[in-house]
Amino acid sequence: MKRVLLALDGALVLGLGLYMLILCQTEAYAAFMNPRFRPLTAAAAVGFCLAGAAFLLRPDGRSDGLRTLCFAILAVMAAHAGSGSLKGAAGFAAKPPAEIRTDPDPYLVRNGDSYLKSNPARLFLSLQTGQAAPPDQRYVTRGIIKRSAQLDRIGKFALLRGNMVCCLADAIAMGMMVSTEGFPVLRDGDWLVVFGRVQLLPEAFPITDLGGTGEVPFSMVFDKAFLVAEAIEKMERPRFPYVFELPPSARRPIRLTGGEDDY
Amino acid sequence: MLQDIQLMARIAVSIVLEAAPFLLLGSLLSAAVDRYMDTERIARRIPQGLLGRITVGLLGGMLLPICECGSVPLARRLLDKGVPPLSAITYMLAAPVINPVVLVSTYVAFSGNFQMVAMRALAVAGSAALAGWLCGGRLWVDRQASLPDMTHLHSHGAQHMSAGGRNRWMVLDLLSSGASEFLDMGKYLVLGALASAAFKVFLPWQFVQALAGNASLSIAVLMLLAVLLCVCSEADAFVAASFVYVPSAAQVGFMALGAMVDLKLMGMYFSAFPKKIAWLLIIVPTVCVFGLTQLFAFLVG
Repeated sequence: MKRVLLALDGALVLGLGLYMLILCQTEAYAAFMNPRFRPLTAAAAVGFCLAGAAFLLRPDGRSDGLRTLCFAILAVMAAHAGSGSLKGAAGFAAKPPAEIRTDPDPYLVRNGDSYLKSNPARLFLSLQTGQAAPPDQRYVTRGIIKRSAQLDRIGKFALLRGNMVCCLADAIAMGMMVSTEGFPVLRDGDWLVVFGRVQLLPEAFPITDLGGTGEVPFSMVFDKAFLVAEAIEKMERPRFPYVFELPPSARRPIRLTGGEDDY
Repeated sequence: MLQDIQLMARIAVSIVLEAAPFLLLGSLLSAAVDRYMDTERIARRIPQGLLGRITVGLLGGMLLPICECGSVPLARRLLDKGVPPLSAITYMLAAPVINPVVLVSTYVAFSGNFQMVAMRALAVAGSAALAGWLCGGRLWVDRQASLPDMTHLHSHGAQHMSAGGRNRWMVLDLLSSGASEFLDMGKYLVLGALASAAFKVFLPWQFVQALAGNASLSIAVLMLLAVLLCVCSEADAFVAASFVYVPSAAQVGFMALGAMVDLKLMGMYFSAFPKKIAWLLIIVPTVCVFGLTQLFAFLVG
């Protein structure tokens, strides 16, 4: 029994390495981790493969049923976690897009007006850190709708995007309040493209009754401004529902998903 | 419900993916220390005085930065090899934060607010030193009896080396020993990741947000969140900076406690140390961080 458990332990460590090695070469990686950590995961995967193989050949220490069970549960979880809604199961088959470091076009033109591309999390961070564009700047942004009683009372909804720093565990759905005046009632969970301008509020208006978005359990909206929508268009869920923004990214965004997360 | 369970699975797997490389690194370093480093000689050179030993622990954190998952197996091995408990425990708790990478990331996350960096470093260094002093005293008295699971790892590796020849199996044994250490600690990582993911998905966040909006409760609420969410010390500053509704002292509480006490670390402490020490490692940093952040709140708001 001891030998069987030790062999299983070795196989599970080896399996973890192989899983990490495959995952970091696919598009699905971006549903678990910030793509900038691909090299770290790949290096660790090689380490796990070597350590697992070594453990299989020359097992060290005692067997422990609980630890074998824990890693077996992890294997079941990994199988159940899937590819995280990135093109369904195809996310595991798709190769990740190349990282783009130069901006092909930060603006999108609509009806002759130029809109700066900015995903909701980037807009949140640029306003919070005082790096936002001048007040007359028009923005185009894409996100998922979240409504709440507090927002309904002031005629607004939240437009959010799950923002990952390291991994999905630290992701927060970040975004802006959007005024709904003149637009039809929108449903929770719909994806939208919003064209509009930022308007500052005279004082902070914290929204404390937001839940999760279904993709990220925790949400946060910028409380000192809102987006005055000029146009709203429904859209399909984007190829990459998550974005990977850090505070300085308003100045120099790193396009880890080939520019898909720009707005 | 099915969507929630899938999200929970994905969050749990992502925590393991994030932490496992550092835990493996810590496990391999631990195995290397066990086999090849003459730590007894190093231990003899560590100063005898209280301040000297604390300084060694804190400087160790700066010179050998490793995140919280990796620091536990390494500290356990350093203790086994004769490093004074005060230095080893101080190192274990401080290393994930008192290092250039994490301090710079805190500085960036708070847009160049040096005060946040200083408060975080102070809260962690103070808590680590106090916990090191309290735990170190107990460990020093009953050192051999208080380190479970060490002898089998130690002797097993030694048996391999003598039986198979040092050079022939050296790398294989090192890797196998590292894997064994990883498996021992990793089970708590998996359990902690599962618990954290369940909390994250099923916790009523509106309730938490409402509580966090209360200035007097916000420090305690964010400290509780730090324990439940298991965010890595490399990333937690960016998460804390996103909590725009809470006072800065509560953000410091989140960043300081999360690197020393969270669900996955609790399991590792109970695995690596005697129960009394594990409890001290949980309670002392919690009380200390709470006290210091209350002081920060009084001084800077």
